[in-house]
Amino acid sequence: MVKYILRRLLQAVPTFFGITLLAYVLMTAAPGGPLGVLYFSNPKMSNSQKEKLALQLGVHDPVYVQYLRWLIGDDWVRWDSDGDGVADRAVLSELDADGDGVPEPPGERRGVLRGDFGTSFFSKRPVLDVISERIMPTLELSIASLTVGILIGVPLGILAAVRKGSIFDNITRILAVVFDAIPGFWLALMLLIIFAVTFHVVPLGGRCKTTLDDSCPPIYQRLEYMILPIFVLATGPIAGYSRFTRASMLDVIGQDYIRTARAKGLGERMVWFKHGARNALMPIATFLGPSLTGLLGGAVITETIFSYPGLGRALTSAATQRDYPVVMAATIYAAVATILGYLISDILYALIDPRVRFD
Amino acid sequence: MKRLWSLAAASLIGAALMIAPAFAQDVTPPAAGEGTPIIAPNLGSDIANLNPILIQDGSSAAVAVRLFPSLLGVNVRTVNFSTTNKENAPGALATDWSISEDGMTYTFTLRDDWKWSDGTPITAADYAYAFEAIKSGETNTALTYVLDTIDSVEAKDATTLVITIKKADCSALSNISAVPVVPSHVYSAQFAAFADMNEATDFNMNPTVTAGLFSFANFRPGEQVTLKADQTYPDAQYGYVVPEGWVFKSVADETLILEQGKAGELTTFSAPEDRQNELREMGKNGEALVFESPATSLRFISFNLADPANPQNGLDENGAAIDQGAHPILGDVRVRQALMYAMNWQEINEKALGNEGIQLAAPVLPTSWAFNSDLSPYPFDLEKAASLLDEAGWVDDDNDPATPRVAKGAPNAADGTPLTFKMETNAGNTGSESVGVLLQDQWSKVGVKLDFQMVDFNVLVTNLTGQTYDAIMLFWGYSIPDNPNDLRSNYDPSNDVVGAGFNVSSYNNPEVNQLMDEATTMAGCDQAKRADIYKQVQELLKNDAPWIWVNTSLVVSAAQPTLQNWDPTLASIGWNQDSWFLASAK
Repeated sequence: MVKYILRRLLQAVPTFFGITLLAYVLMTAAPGGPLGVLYFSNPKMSNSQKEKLALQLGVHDPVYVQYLRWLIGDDWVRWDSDGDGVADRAVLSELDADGDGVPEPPGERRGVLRGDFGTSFFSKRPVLDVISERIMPTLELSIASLTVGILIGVPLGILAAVRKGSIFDNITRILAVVFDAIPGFWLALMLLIIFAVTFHVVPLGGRCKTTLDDSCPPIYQRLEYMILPIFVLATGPIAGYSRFTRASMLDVIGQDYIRTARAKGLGERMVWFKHGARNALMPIATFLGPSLTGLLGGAVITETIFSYPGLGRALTSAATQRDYPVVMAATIYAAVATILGYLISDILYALIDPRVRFD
Repeated sequence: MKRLWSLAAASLIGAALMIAPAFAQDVTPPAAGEGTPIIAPNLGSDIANLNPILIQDGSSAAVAVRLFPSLLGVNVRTVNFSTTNKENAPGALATDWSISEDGMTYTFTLRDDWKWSDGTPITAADYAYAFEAIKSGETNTALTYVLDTIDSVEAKDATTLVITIKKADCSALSNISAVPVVPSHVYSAQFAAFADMNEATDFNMNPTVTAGLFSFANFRPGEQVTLKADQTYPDAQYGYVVPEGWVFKSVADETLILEQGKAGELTTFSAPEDRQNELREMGKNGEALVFESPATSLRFISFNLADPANPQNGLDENGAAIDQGAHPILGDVRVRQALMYAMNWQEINEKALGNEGIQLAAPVLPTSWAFNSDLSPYPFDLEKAASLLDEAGWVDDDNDPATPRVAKGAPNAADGTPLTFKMETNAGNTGSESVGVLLQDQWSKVGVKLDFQMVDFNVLVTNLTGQTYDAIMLFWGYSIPDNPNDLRSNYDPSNDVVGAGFNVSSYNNPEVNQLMDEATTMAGCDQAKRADIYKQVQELLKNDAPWIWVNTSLVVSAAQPTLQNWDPTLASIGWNQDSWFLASAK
């Protein structure tokens, strides 16, 4: 199994680079850039200062230079070969890029491959700090909503299959389609209007109570802030898991071994839940990968509407501002979550079904 | 008509000022630092930097102004720069200033009763240090524009600051006041070189030595910035800071700010442009304190006067004007004037601005001392518009107003060119979107086909500064106190710099440039005489019409009804926030 995981991880490497390259090209190809907003925020900034800023951000460089700098840093673009503290060698760039007669300082960025995710264009803070501050709120929402989705969706699907053709089955199927079809942003706004604005039973967004201290209490003490975003994020998994489970159960229940189990005289409950449900769960494992990816996508909208301070909201803000380093870090998070999600799906599949071999 | 318009504008502003909040001064304030924390919304992004030398964003600036002193105060009643004054201009260092006869040297006397939070006195050296950091060119500061004005700064002694400016400049105080005051003893110990402060993220985000109403407590990204009362603040109205602290709460949009205000989750709040009446209603019903004031920004439509296919700077290296070519349609002043005449502003105000708009004839706000109240906006006159277009060589050759006119002898366009151009605005601004749609309809009545598009803000600003557009609608903000010299940003050829400057119309009128110089360098800087010059500038700008100054608006601010001592003014909503407290429910 270890070999299998290692092989899958190795296979993921080109996928990962492909994603980052595509993301970088698409991001920089989008019209508009970070400079306009920075200039507009400081209309009195002198023109020379603006040029200096553009040079620092490197956004006027060709896209491949920008990507390489992001990937492997810029300490190889401009460096100090004789140790006097002044850059004296340069490739892909001028030594005196701004033409002021003084060489630019040696590059100091090490690039993502060496653990340097760069600095946010806007907050000027290390991107890893920005991401790490925001990842916990997103993880708590994602994990909670996925758990809720599985805990509600799977039993619903099993029960719908058991009671195939009943009112319960029909209602479940209709609700699954409705949940799948409702746009997340619309549902979020409606829930906010009904439960927060009209009835005041939950707060109007945020993650925890506004206080003077630096702490946010444990999850169980601030559930009122999480209920609505979790519900919105869980609707997709609930719909997906219930439909998958129902279909899978109905497929399994027609198999020979189920007939054999019944012929042995086992009770219906034993047949459905021990022999049927266990086998029906196998295809459901494959749904885990897309679920993880979908949750991050959903978080972008949900966190923004509920003012939830997670990675999704940070990504929205960064994309709006064209804060390339932050967008790329969030892309890496999404790529890794997707790759790991599919890997976990495959491993679970193999663990659940002994017929599937790791080789 | 002129007089009617002036009266209307004056009454709007007058009305705004008259709606003052009620106070409950009879309620006893809590003891020092025991008042409920004030929770205010932060609509912008997270704070990025609390080093006043490096701040480049509004969220950080709003926090820093509560943590660091300023050299000059702003009198909250007269909206002018002022020496420190607990009643009207608290929180400043200067107790007096004088200007040399030649107007080149400003000497400030500073107070000696204010200390940094570590007990070190605040001195003139703290201002001088910040200036040197800006001047060094080593820091990533956005304040280098002050070097256009300030030549040198000398801390004569702890309480005497001598500032020499480069040339006589009646608006020098604006730039002088922009230089921050920082704890130089801490900064110089922390940074061997000014350049070091650029990368000092932890230091810049966690100021430990401050001097203001509040001290920095903590920052929860995406959630809130928390400040705690600083009881050493010398200008507190009660002799101490009443609220325990101040929280900037991150809120996703204006609608949520309003709803959180209604739910009592925010102490002070506001409303989206189209829902301000809800605040007024709350004010009438005693559910909120409300204050109306004219905005310090205006909505404009910038016309590109130059050839958008070949954007060039306004001036060459020697300061000589560059021939930038002319925009085929908007390069002709008669066309721009025709568009002004064809704009039915009353309809726009009614249908797009919710009757909250204040019409403008030129780019000086009615609250400014330089405002030209005799200047009336272009009247709505379709016949005049049509006649100007005829005169400019744009004719309705098929007598069908539904189709655009075509060029026939137009100076900058080949015959047969249709009279159609693109106007962009930022998607999501519902007011501007409505204005654009209305203009599309209004201008079509004189045979102008407007291709109106709503685009992403970044794209819009890139097109604007890149000067590759035809027309763009956006907002422009003004500083407080008002500085009419800032008009140079938008109308002086030195700021016509592709990709960077904000004279995005490529406007260049030597008469305007000369008048602006006169108003800035006038001996004695008599404000009334300067206002006369700026009034001429406004008249010239109105006639040249490089922009349409669509409107400024009334802005309604609100606070919880139990908030005591809320005394907002045009200059500042929260100038006396050290005395704010929420009365307990009875």
